[in-house]
Amino acid sequence: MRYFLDMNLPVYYCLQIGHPLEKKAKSFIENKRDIFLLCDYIVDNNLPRWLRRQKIILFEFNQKIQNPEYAMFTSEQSKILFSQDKVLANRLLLNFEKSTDKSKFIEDINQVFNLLHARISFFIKRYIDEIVIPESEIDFDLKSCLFTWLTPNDSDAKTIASAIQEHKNKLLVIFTSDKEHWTKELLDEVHNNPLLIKRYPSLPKIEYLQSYQ
Amino acid sequence: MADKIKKTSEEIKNDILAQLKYGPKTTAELGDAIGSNWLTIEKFLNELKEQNKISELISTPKMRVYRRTDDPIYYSIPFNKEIRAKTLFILSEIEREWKKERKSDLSKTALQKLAVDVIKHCNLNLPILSFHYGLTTCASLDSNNQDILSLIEEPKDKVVILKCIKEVINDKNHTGIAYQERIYQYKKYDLPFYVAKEELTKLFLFHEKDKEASKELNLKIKKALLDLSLNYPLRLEKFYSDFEKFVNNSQIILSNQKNELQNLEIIKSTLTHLWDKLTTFTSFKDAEFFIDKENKQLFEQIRELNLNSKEMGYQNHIDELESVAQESNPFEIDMPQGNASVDIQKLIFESLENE
Repeated sequence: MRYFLDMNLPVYYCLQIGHPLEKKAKSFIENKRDIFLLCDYIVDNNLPRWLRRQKIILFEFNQKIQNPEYAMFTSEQSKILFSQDKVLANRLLLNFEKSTDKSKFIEDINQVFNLLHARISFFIKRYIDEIVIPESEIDFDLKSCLFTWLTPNDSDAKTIASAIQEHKNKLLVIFTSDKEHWTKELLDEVHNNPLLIKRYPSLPKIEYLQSYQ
Repeated sequence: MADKIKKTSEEIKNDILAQLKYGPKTTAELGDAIGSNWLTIEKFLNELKEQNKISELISTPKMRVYRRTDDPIYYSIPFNKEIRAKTLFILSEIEREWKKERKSDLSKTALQKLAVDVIKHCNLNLPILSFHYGLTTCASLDSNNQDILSLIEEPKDKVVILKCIKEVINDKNHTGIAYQERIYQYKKYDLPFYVAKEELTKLFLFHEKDKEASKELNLKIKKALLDLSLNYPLRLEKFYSDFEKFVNNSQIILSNQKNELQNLEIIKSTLTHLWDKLTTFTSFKDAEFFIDKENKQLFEQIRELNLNSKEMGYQNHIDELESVAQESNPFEIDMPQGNASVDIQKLIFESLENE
């Protein structure tokens, strides 16, 4: 089987929090008997951008704890942060303020962010068999159709479009934990488009990490 | 028509050297100043180059800029004559006064630290550069070089400056010892990034003395790297990505149980090059305010040249560091234990779910 992985899976695999999804991701990856695919958009664009944003979150955190007068998100680089990144940075600061061992918290947060980065890069090298569909070759019509239903999530639209295109080259199964957005109903919308149904007569199945045994 | 007295070759060469005392100049500028044509100037410039008295600072198909090899100004930045002369005056007077009062010689580092105190204490409008070993003046003094010393002129505010020098030398915290002078300056002017770098340098020195470096040393270096990260200054944020790459890869290498001693050498040399790159940037940033309008273009060329060469040096090292780090399996390095670590990771997990 060829599994096309969502971006969340490598991140879940790299964490150590004892969450059920993390355990399932570890089991899925470590019992690997299948081919794992990631799309070029995730490897070359989305994941590096996400990691860059994590670095900036850490930068903001470190600046703030060293200098309480520092106004969060005033650095030039913080302009690329999303609202959920700012929420994360503020929540980390709140946790820091509540922590009893501040030095340990600072050491931990820096180590977690550093290790997460290294682990994700290592994960791609060790476990990913193929990187498919160059971002420049993503079918614009297909992506636009998906984007209509996923608005405003351009990332998901590009990733799912890559999966559908690769499925046309060779059959695959999409593997994700996002039950809310990555649905069969969403894929069916592709077949409601007269142009796209001809271009992509077969659509991939979706399997969820939550259902993995 | 007035008779033109023909200069000897030595006279022309001395004229060139005299012109370059006030900073780097193009071939055309030198020709105009000396009153010689391009061919003559080129001939003598080549001879001076062979004698190692001058060097090409910038060389493009359209333009060549020359500097004296004994130019006292760091990076040969084109500061004006007044800045050059006044800075050298302060340095030489401190050296003289220190010898008189403390009856000992001053190290070059200590001299710079005292001079920075004088400039700040006196509120003198002179450049202070954030150099690789902390704050310095823009010039280095070689008191054996009479030719350069002849640049020194007594400034109008000489009396105030000399009074200031006395006060600074009377500060008992100045010991004249390079290491102590650096630490004193970093604390005095609140330079925690430099303090953290100093600590790292010290640990690497321990490693050189005791090659049987232990796990304990690894831990200390990891802590010092963290401290360096925590004190990363906002003014360097455009290089944060490079810095973070260095710290991240170094931490991975140091966390690896199988870390070998030679890896510390790679971390150390990468840090040296990164530091060089960062402080070259800050030095030029500090200098730019003091550059006269007519020298701005030359200043930018010198800046670009230096930043590019530092960048190349750094890239070679970071690539090597990265490839060593990639030999480690980061899954063999545990995430930190305890509730704080789990909570941090949970927050990242939740944030990712909202992507």
